[in-house]
Amino acid sequence: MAKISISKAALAVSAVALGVTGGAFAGVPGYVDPTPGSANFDLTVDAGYISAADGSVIYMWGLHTPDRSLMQYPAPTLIVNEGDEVSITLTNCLDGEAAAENTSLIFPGFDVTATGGVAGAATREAAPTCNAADSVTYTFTADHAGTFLYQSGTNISVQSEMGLGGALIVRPTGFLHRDEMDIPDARPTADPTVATEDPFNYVPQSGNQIAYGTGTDFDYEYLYVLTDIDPDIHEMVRIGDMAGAKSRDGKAVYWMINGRAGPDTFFANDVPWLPTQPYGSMTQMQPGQKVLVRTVSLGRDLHPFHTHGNNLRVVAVDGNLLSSVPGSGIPDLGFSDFTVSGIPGQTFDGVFEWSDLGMGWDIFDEATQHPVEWHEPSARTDGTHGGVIPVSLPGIPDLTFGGFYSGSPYLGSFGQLPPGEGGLNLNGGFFYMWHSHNEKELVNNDIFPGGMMTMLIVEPFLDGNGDQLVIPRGSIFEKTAN
Amino acid sequence: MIRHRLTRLALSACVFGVFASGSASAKDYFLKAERVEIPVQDVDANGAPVTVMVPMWGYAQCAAKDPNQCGTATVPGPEITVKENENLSVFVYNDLKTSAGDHVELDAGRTSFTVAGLRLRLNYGPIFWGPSKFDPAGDPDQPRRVRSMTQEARPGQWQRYSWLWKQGDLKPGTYIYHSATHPAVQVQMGLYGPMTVLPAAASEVYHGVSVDAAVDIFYSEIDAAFHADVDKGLDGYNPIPQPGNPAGARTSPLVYSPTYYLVNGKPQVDGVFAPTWDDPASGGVTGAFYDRKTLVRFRSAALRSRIPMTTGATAFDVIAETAEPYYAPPGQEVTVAARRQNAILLPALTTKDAIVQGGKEGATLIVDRALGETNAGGMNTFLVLPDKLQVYPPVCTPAGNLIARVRTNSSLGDQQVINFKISNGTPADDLIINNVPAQAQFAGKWQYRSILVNSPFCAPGTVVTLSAMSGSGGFHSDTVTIE
Repeated sequence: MAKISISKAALAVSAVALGVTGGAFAGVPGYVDPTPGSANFDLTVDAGYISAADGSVIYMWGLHTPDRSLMQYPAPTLIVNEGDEVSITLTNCLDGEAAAENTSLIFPGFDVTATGGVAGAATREAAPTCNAADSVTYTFTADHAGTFLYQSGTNISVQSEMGLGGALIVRPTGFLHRDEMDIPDARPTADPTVATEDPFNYVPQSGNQIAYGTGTDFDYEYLYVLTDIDPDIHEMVRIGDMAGAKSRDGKAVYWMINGRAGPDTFFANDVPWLPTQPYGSMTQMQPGQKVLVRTVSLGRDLHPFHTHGNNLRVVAVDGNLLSSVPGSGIPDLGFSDFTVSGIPGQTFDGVFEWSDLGMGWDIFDEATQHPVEWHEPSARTDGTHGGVIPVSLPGIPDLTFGGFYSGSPYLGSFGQLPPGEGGLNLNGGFFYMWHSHNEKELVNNDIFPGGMMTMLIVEPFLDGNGDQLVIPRGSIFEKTAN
Repeated sequence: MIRHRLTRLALSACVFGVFASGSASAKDYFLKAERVEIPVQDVDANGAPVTVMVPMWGYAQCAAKDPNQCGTATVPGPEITVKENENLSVFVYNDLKTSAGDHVELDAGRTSFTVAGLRLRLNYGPIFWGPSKFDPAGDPDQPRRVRSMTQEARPGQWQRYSWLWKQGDLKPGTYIYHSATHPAVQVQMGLYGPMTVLPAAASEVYHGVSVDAAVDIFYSEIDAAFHADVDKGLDGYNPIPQPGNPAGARTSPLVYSPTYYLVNGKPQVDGVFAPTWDDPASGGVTGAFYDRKTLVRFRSAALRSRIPMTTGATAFDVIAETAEPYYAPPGQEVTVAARRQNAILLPALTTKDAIVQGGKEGATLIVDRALGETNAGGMNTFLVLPDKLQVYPPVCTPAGNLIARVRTNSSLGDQQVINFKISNGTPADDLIINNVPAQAQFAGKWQYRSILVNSPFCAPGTVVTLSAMSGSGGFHSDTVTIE
């Protein structure tokens, strides 16, 4: 067991390495319609299987786009632009399943017109025929920006559990990716003339890379779809016992981020051995940058999402900016917390920042780290430049190690480690666990550790070779289905 | 000519009844706590429909301080509505019994009453198990063990609970009243209900907050095994099977697994919204017209957190929780900063208030996103924001044909389903015309629907009622006497 988990973790790191050095995107892909001004998607419901990190296999119902033959969990992330006329056609291919039934999609917060199919409680539904004649088309105007969810609107208590839900992201009017604005990738910029509390004199480079308005600019964005699974319900559905599934008092034993249980969450997107769980959730940033944390809660239980490293500033709930002045784009009613409730059916957006401000010592080791312009004393207003760790570091015999320790407490530096220790930290970054703070959810069916858990890596600006380390724009990036 | 009497029946108007109930300085409610069996439409192991009778404890409203003048107990109990400038007295009569009609042994058969969030005047609690002035026959072995937070009603006796406005006891908001005796058992048995305190100013729901209508959505749960064991009068909690009692005695919700999830007192099966002439709301709650402000008072007496979520465009502007408005800036009671959400966390015994104001008429399914549902149905309900139908008095042409005409105000335009019912008081003559077509010449925001109908409606002296119902549950009627 231990060997397996080690080899998995090693794979995870190599995948991350690919993400960093190979130019692949680190975050979660989202589908866009390649036709400008158009937002049409075809989604199909299919049954399939996912695997949890303890090796178990779970029967699921999931959605997928035409570029995939297998269903995926969670449902495909859809990216549209504010003002788009969104059109989503749903075809139900649950035919042949023992508990085949109608299904549908709802988009809470949007005024949806449904055509085709048959009438249902919440909206029109597609019968399980896998026939386009029975498909339902949902159209709506994406009239406000933000992070939203979409999910089944049929037999919600079972179909939510079965996996029919995902994220919908509406980009605000005027949104531009940084690389579309012809400005360099985000990194701190030297400007010794600016006196600021920002230890790196960080000059935001995000331009109009915003979630809502000017107060929600970010360097990177990541998606966290929080779900939970009671496999007994899935097994009942698999054998056709829908009545049993519906009457069961659901008790989750698996807890997932983006459809994966930790430590599978560390893997890159689209790893071939998780064909129905394409989304990773390893988060990367560099000091002084802003990470937009888009959280979508689609389980049955509350999940207190806890960010190590720093507080999270929540700026929006359910796609509504926490602002006292509607339309201002300024989240002045936002709040800072280290644990934020993931409430099923809700989304929240948080802005996460990390720096060494106030630490009292310099996270960069002058002796081994590379002197770079922005690291000059004049740019450090909190007096930490050159500051040493205010304790005597214990010797190696007095330390225990994890795979994520580089051997040096300094960012971007490596130190001596005993044989067999470390090795999972390619750039000498700082690792922080982001996880559900409901501690029982940090297992995979009672096998610790795992569950609703991923990592944030605060990466240095230069990699181990002294080359500039750039986290690809990544995060939630566009991908077309056709 | 035509003499017509307007009987416009906007369902939402019923909530205004409480506003009109006068400015008396004292308001008395008489509640009888009693055993009641609540029917639940479930399905058996073969999927066949079966009606399950769940024994519960509920409150029945009485016309006077007389246990013989009471209605049937309901769960949740009857709504208590009072203005902040009235004195409130609630008299509770204890008629709790076991299924065999015996005295309830648990908690010495006592019960009591409280409202979380409001200070009870003349509170003689807490009540201990040991002997006291109020209970000389108490258990001397448990002198300092609390049984109740407030004074109790003994079996077969009344107890009074009062709130005095001059003492500031009443504060506007959405509350839940419930038993304060061994609440772990008594509240779960069903002794809870909705309470609303209204500001002195008419139409306000909080100071500075006015709405056009208010509706209640009340969540609760049943664990049928627990109810059955308490109802049997089983003594003590022991989930381990015993000789003669194979299921053990589950007389507390310590091991808790709900079997029924209720909204406004019953599980709702989420079928297609289909208003009927008898029940235009048809399984939902009807708010104000879609373009007006409706306050939804969410309450939960469920032990688990519930999460009402909209399935459509109707977002919730949450303005208060546990009767505390989100006044912003703080320190004034003029403006609230609403928090717009699609899903609302509603923990046990809490309330939240949300304003909805749709841009579109219709019924929106509100589901519990904590997935409270079984085969009997669940915590699903339709929130209906009806169209403002204007029913014109039916008139007769010289040729003796009746013209039935309605104006709709819906953004749905000609897609909206409008049904007519024309009645002369003889049910056999009732004429129902479904989906009366729109008149193209009036296409636009206001739509007219009219139809020409032959006799028997135009004989002089006939009392004709024209009713119109929209597919969204809006319902209006107008009655004329043909002269």
